[in-house]
Amino acid sequence: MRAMRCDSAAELIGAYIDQELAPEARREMAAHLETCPACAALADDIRHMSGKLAALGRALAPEDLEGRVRARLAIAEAEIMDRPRLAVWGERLAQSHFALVREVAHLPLSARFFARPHFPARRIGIKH
Amino acid sequence: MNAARPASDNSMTERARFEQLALPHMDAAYNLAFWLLRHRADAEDAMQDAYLRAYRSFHDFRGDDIRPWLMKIVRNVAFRRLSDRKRARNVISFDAALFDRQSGEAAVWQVPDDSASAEEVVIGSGEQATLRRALSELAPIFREAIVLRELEAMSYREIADLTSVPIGTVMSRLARARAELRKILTRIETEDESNAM
Ligand SMILES: [Zn+2]
Repeated sequence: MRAMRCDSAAELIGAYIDQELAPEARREMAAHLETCPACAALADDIRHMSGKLAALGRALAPEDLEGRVRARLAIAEAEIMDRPRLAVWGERLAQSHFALVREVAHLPLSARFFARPHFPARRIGIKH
Repeated sequence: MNAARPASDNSMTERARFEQLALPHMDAAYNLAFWLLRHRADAEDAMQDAYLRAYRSFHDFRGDDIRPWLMKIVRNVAFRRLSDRKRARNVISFDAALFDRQSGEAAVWQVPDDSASAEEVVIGSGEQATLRRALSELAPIFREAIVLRELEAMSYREIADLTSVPIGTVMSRLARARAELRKILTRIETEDESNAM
């Protein structure tokens, strides 16, 4: 097992705390934290901050927002109903055609990405 | 997940089906919209807009879990609003540069820009208020990473899918966001200490 250096440890400590490292990287990190007080202190700091952030809780939506959203959707539904069915279907067809083109346009890029021998997540040892 | 699509229920209208699936995720969606926009009324508008868009393209939705699909729409709407604001602010600055000397019209300054509004973000006082303030000072992309990971407890894979970036990018954004956040917190604490003296 090669020794982990502090600069690469700093980048990985968060992922270690989030339990997102692959087993080998996790072991290396644990070993590094055993022997490096500076990185161990940083890990404590991040863990502490993470706990405080989680404790903030969500920003709460106003109680009447759901009602307002429902009302808006009801209007949209009425608009769709009012239009001749043919127009709606034509629009949907156009939309789904557009969506398809968009998907296909994305495909080669992501296919290429996942086919790359050095998938970054593997190189830095994140689990999938 | 209890958000499985009730496929066999033909008596429901499309809107009722959409509402049944999408409305339970309003809290998560609003939290993201709020932290991206840092402005209540704006976040509420963004939610209305996003839910309307989602409903209109509901026929494109496939699968059992609507949440990732819906969150992506909310995120896109919020980011579009952020960039609209930036554009609006640039126009305003230009106008202001021309006309400011004469009157300093207050109205043009009411367009919310991307600077944090303290009274919107910082509720209460003490440690949590400081943390909210620090979070609000992060750049949107880092704010988002922290909110999704720490407040929504999403995995890196889920964040990567939502934000359309590789998982390695999620990790480096989060590392950067945390480092920035620590820096900001240190700065705020130092400021508070010197103010107290
Ligand atoms: Zn170290």
